[in-house]
Amino acid sequence: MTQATFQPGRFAGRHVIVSGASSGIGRAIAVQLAREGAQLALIGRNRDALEATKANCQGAAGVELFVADLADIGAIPDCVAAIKERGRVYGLCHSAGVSLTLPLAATKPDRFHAVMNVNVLAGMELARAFTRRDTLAEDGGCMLWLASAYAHVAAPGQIAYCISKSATVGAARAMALELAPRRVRVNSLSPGMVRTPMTEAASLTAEQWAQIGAQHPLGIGAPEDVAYAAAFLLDPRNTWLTGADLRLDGGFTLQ
Amino acid sequence: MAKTTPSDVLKMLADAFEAPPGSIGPDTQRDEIAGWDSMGALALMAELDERFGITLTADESKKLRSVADVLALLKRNDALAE
Repeated sequence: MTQATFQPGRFAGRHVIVSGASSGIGRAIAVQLAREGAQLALIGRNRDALEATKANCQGAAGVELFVADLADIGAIPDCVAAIKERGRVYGLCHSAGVSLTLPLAATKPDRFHAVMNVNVLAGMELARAFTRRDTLAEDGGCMLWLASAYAHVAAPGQIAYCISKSATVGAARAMALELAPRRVRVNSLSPGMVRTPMTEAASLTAEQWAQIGAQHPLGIGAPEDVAYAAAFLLDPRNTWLTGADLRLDGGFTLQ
Repeated sequence: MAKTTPSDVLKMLADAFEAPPGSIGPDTQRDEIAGWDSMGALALMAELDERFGITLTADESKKLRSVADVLALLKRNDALAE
């Protein structure tokens, strides 16, 4: 298990939105940014789970909770407007995501839409709201999209998820170019298999978990591994890093 | 929740497993249905969840070995009209 890293003040004075902060990777990212002094706006579906995340956010300059189901795309602009009332926003980390494990024949349009809505469209709406001239920090900002190793490799039953994560990487790249003149950096992070409530809910058997673990030379990841990388990609000092996708997967996609 | 009928269940299974209509009957076993593999099992789990609110773990899904097992599952969950 890795030790917690602590760089006090790296995010001091920085207001950062984290979606999907109720659990898993989003929670771990919130906790890491809190350790480094961020002012946090945490978005999630479940108030109790968000409260649990907040309780772990020691070191934060402030933590506000915004309960929202990001599948309700129309509600996102008002959510970000409410966040902006607490101060202009430096960072957006779109970590909310849903998985879907189904064969192509069962990947009906409504099921596919459900994945794209949260994984991609919600991120787009958050990005549109975050980059508004009355919302974005005056000296620029930084976005991080959580993609996946499945943006780069495939697996049976993962068509909708692979599409959504490939779209995430593409979105980050296109936004990085368009928003560079406004000093908004945009990057994506492609983790390999991490044990989280989302992946736990993906109906994998114990044998399948063991098989996936065997495919990762450094083993299955932890949410904290992703959080350290996320903090690096969101770091205000990384002023030249944009349009990058970081594969963080214990060597999974090397093979 | 509206209850389903055995004949609708057979249609649901034929659709989930991409089997020819009418090829699945109440006595059909899992290993007689080519499409009832691991992917087909996931498709069935999705249908059970969406149509009846029945969620199964992967292990519970593995225990369904026949159409009769699916009908019994629906009956236990009060989703099957006789």
